[in-house]
Amino acid sequence: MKLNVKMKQSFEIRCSSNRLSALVATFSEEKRKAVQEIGFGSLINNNLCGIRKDLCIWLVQKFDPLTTSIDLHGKVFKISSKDVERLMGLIDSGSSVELIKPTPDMEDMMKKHCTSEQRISIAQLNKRLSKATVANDDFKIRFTLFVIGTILCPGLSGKLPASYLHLLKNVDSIRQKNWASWTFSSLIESVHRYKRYEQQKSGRQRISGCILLLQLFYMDVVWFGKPLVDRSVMAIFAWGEVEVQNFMRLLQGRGGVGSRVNVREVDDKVCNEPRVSKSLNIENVEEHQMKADLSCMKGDLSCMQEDISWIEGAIEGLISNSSGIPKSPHGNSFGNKHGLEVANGNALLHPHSPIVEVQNQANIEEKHIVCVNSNNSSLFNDEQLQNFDMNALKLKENNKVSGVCVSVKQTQTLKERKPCLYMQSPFDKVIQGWVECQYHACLLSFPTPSKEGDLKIVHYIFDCNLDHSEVLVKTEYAYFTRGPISTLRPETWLDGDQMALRKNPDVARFAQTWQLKKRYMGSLKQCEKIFIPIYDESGHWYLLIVCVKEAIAEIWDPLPNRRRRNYREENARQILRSLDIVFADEIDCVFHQSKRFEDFNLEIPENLPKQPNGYDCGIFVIKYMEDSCIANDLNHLNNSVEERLRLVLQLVCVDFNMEYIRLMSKAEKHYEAISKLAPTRVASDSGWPSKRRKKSAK
Amino acid sequence: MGENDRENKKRKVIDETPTISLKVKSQDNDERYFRIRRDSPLLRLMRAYCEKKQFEFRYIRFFYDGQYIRPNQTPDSLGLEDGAEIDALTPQSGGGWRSF
Repeated sequence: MKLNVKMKQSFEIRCSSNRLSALVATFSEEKRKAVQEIGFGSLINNNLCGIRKDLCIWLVQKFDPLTTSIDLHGKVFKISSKDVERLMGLIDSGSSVELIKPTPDMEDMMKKHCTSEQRISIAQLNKRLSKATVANDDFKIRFTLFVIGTILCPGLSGKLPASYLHLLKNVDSIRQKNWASWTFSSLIESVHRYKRYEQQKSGRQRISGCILLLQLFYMDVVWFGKPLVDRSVMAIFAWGEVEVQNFMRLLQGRGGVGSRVNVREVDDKVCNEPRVSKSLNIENVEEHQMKADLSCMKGDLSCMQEDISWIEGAIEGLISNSSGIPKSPHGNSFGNKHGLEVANGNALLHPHSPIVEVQNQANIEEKHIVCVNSNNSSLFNDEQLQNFDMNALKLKENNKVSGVCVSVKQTQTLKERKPCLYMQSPFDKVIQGWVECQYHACLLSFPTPSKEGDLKIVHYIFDCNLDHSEVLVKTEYAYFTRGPISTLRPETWLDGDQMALRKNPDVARFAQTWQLKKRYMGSLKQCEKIFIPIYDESGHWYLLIVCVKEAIAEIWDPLPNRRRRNYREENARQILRSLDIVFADEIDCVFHQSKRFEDFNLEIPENLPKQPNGYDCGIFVIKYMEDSCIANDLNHLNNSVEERLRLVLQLVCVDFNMEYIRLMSKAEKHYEAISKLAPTRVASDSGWPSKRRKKSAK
Repeated sequence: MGENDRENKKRKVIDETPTISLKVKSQDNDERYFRIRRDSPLLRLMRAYCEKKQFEFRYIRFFYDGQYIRPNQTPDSLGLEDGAEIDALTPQSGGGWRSF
């Protein structure tokens, strides 16, 4: 639907964020603090985005006030007051807002704030707010009124009814009011009124209510294939004037307002968890966390209780066994009475008769067995046993599908076969050295099913015929070209850049120029673990984990070797020494008793899953870093190909990869090209680029 | 005389274009010095370096202040100053132990 210019001109939106941001820009630090105190911290934003008229008219038409849902390009989204909290940072809790006509005892306030006819002029508020020198209670009341009049629920005229004053009688209670739900309900009301009355009017059409919310919601939901703003920040902060301009430009590129664009799903989780804003109500967030922690602790406690009761049972069983078993070899009546009492818990049987004694012993034995059984069953319940079996089955399967499925090459018949290297004719020109092959197909086939789009990208990335220095991943700090990324091909050794942390005489300079701390580490105070992959010159990656709090350094080696062990430990020590230099300025205030990284205990944990082949150590090091729980997982299964694919996709298909969109289109074209070129010949060369020379094809 | 004039002119042109001297440092702390024009792509420096050190060009990666240098960048576009230091790294490829 396109709007004509005339309609745009005759349309008037009362919600004006520009007015607020212009006012807020002039505020002093004291005033800002006062605004934060009354709970409107999220609105102190110099860079509040303006209302886009054409977009908002369209949104209003799509918004259905009866069901409070909005229909965007075929998807229906439900909007609630939770969204006000999520997008605008007004907390959706507290006492509800009710308008009551001012009582006679409020005449003082009326005189202060109202102009005439018992109404409050927003223009006058604006003037007084910018002139105010002190951030007192009057200032707070005026600011609240101003916010209501410009953004939260502006009326049709430029004036507010005096009934708001009743709400603001007590300044401290402003914070406790539920402004979010009030804003939302007034929006619904105004849209309803607009659709009912204003739309039929021929002249000026006016709409009140917080239209900014609809705009923010739309901008939050639309997905242009690349991130325009940081989505971890609350929408009202993230969407400044510049970002909205970019957004509208992109929208124009797709055919203007109302034309079809991609809409992403709103994650329920994100909706429920309010995003943490920079300045807003830190106490409230803390409160939430405390509550969550408490409930966690409750759960833990109940678990512990169960454990304790189980342990008690087990101990009782053990006591009965330990007192019962030694008795069996003696077998005579001497001292048996007491022992049996303990064992059976009650002495109902007659211990003096030998027959009964035998029976008792049998009882004990039975009990013993039962006890053991119960122990077993509680350790491995049926599910786990089944899992175990499943794991074993998987192992078998895994053995079958290890590596890439390479189709068997067709052998050539004798006639077609070329003469061998040594039988070549001396007249033929033999090209020495590197042969630039024209093309050889490399349609890899993967054992695990994956999405077609992913496959295309993987093909494009792994094709060794393409330029190896093409930048595939570009982030703020790092570039990855095809060269290193394509070492993630199946059965290939992993490439990495070794940063000269050891054997470097000038570590301090190195750390400074590479900005090690800024890019790869944070402050040492909050640090728990430092992960450092180390390269062994014999062609092996292993991992050094420095646990700062425990003062331990662990070497996680996916393929330990007795001969290289000392060498690797020495390397790790060197790196610890370098860490001392890198963190020289922080180390004294973090570690007590002048402890240093060099003094850390080196440990080599057992029970690590080891690499089952000769090429996966890099992948394992990455895995160790991702998930340290892997340590005791002896049943850990590794599907090398799957893991590598996952890593590639994780590296390339991410929001912060600036090259992603370009890659997608290129990959698409490339895939078409290969599938046309070589539908039959499927060859996969796993080594990059060592085997390339041999396979020069037509 | 004519030839001499031409040579002089050439020299003048070369002298007039601003040059910059760069230090390339490898992982084993071996330092090489290069002089390059401010507007010529660093690809030339990279190739020359690899030739001197007998490395294969495609395997070596160059970094300035921890940022990857692309071959088509120039000292001007990178904002290099006279005497700036470039790191040349050989990628380490590891998979398992070599005699696995």
